Amino acid sequence: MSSFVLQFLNGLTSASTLFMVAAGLSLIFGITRVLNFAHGSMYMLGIYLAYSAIGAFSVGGVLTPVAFWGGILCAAVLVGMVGALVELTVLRRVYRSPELFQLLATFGVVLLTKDLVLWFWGPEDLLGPRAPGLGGAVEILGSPFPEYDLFLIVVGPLILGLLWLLLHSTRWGLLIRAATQDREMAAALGINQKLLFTSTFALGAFLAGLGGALQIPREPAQHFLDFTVIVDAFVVVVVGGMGSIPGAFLAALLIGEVKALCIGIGEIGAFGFGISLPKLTLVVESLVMAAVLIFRPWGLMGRALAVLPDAGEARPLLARNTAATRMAGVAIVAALAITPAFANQYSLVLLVDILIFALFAASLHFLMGPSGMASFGHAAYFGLGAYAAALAFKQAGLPMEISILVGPLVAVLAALSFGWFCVRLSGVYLAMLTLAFAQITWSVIYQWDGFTGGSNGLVGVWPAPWLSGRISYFYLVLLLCGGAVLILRRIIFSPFGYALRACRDSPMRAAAIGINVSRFQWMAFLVAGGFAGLAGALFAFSKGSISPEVLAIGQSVDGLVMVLLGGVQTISGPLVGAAVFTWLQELVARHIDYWRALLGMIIIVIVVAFPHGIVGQLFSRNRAKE
Amino acid sequence: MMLSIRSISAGYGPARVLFDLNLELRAGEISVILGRNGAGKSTTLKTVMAMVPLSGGQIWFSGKRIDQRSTWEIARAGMGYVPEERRIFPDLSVLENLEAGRRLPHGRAPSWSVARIFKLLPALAPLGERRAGTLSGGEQQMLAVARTLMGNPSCLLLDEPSEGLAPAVVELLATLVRTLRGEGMAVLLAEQNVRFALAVSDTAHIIEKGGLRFSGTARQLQERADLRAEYLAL
Repeated sequence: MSSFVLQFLNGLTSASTLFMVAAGLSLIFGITRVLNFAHGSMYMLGIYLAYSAIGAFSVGGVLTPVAFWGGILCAAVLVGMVGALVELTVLRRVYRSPELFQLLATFGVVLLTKDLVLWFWGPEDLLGPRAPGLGGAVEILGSPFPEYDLFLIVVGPLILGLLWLLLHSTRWGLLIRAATQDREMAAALGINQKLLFTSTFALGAFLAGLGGALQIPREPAQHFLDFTVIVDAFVVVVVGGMGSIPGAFLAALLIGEVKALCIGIGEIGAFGFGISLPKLTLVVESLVMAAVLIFRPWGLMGRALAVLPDAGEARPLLARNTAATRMAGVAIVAALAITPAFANQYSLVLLVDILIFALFAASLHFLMGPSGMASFGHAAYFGLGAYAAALAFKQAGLPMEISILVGPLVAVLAALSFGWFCVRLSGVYLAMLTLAFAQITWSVIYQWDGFTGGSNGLVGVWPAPWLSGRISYFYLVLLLCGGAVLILRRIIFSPFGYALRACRDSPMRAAAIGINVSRFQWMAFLVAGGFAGLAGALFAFSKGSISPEVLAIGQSVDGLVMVLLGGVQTISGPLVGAAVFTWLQELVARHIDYWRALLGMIIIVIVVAFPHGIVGQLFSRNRAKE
Repeated sequence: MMLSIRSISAGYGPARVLFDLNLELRAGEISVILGRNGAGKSTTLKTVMAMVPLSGGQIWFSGKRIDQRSTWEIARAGMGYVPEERRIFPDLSVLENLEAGRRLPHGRAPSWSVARIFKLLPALAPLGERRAGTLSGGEQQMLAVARTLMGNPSCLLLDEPSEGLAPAVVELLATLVRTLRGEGMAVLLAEQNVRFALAVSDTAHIIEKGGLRFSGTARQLQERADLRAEYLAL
């Protein structure tokens, strides 16, 4: 009983932190409609800055309450200023770009911040001091419970109250609420949105920074916190309802308690397997989110979002082949076909990577472009394809030629079940659900040591002898990936493809002419999942080994970056994006320590300079000439 | 001249809606733009507010060029805009909607306050704490106009204010517009309700396919049955 109560209190503690981060994210999304990937980075900055600020304020190494609390406040304020800076320099320039570009821009900030943190503080975990005066523990039902955690439990509701007051009894808060409901109308009433946006960003970042800084006595500052926190915060915001602060609080409580419960229950046995719930908190969290979204598609306290009249949309630019583009396509394939004659081993390996990721990007583009469904978890299909192929080869002992086909098959099955849930939602909510399913898949593969090799992955996944040469495998990949891309292209310009675009552009009208919208979108999931699975299977055999990295969130994000880099409104865009991204990553990562920062900078510059992607920009320019 | 629209062209993306349109509005004048659905009435008002991008021409307001300004700057310069869809903030209360619109004019005493709004539109007075989304269509229209007046504009753009309103409410609106004229405010209406429009206006313009077909006094238009038959008959 007492351990249950303690777990409950632990849940409240983590709920407080979750709420602070999620409230900021929700506030920013509500008014700017930007899904801020960099919010987790603000949290991480908060911890690191608190560590340094407290150290700097502790004169002669003596930790005083002033140094501790002053350090925390100073860190949060600094993070707020960083938030304002990010808004002023990056986001302000992309408010009229398509939603996904804004996302990409914030992702550039994530990469940049990560390397800045690594460069400034180094890779080691930094453990901060305990809070002066709150370092002890109180006895609750016979067990000790940290005083500081009790303090955090109080901070959450306190922040909720203060935010409520700020939003409901100041003019600034009133204007925020007005602009959240209709920002164009707010401007027509003379409300200066720039000021409002910058201040909201600063406040949101401040809250994330505060949430981070307050963790310093509890957990060390680590350079991977940005990702773990942003996923949690997204889940909380989506469960609570985008833009709703009380919703975020409720959802933080729910998620915090669910996590604590998982840790409290510990290991359970089922179907002869020992399932360790503490390791699966993310899975359980995702399941809770999926359940909430199915019954309440806008979250617990959210509601349907007003359409933004001034938001930029990805224009339906999908151009049919012209003689020139067809010639270019043939020329590229021909050039690729004769490459092995003069390319060295290293270039061939890089080319195989590029071809595989081009197919991965093309399959994601099929979902995002013509079908209009942004997937944040496309790595699930890629990774499942890779694992299924590898397992069929290693565990089932199937020949390599068959195993490669098992990959896409399993990916299609996964898309069949994940897609069924996802097509019930749209927009950001759909994207979050895809992310949740990807995280579930990742967790299962990561935990299932006995079957999948767990974090070590699988080794010895080599192609059959007749394909084992670099050159022959290159031709196999060229054939399969090239063929798959052509088929995808064909589908986009088939009646099915046109129906999908109708569903994307006007679901109501599409339904009115007899198109079963969710059925078509479901089928789009199958197509996209299958081709991603094929790319994954080819990837596994090209590397000879795989690890859970192939279906981690980073892989999904890579895919997004490739598609958006190239341009979502063209078919060739994602292919070019994949080539540029893979090549850049290889080139830069090889020679520069801080390649992430460089990549982040490149992404930001591209998003600001080419709001339609590289290829999209070329096409628009050609159009303008006409 | 309060507002001077000089041969503007505007539209949405590649689709152009307005072609070389000229229009002028004096201080204290009530003017109406008439025309069929899709003729470009709303687009004209939105272009003035920089809510639709301008592709040619100039717009001058109180002696300053405003076509390169952003929406909020134009509003702060004294241009009030009430959209066709009203676009009140549904989750805010009536009082909060009014507060969101409140803005002090430059260099003169504010002529609008909540008390004065409630005196002029007594129907709104008991609704102060109500969520605006729960108001009736007529009440929402009153609120939309009132919210814009709280910004103390010197010129008011009203987009189809009489649309979908009961005759009694339209009458109230006409009285309100006449009151505004009495205080020297310029009003530019976009309307389909010819009878209401000509009853309150000094001057009238007809646009068709994004271009001006007639400009004159409301009285002149009253006498031109041919024009009304050609451009305004349903």
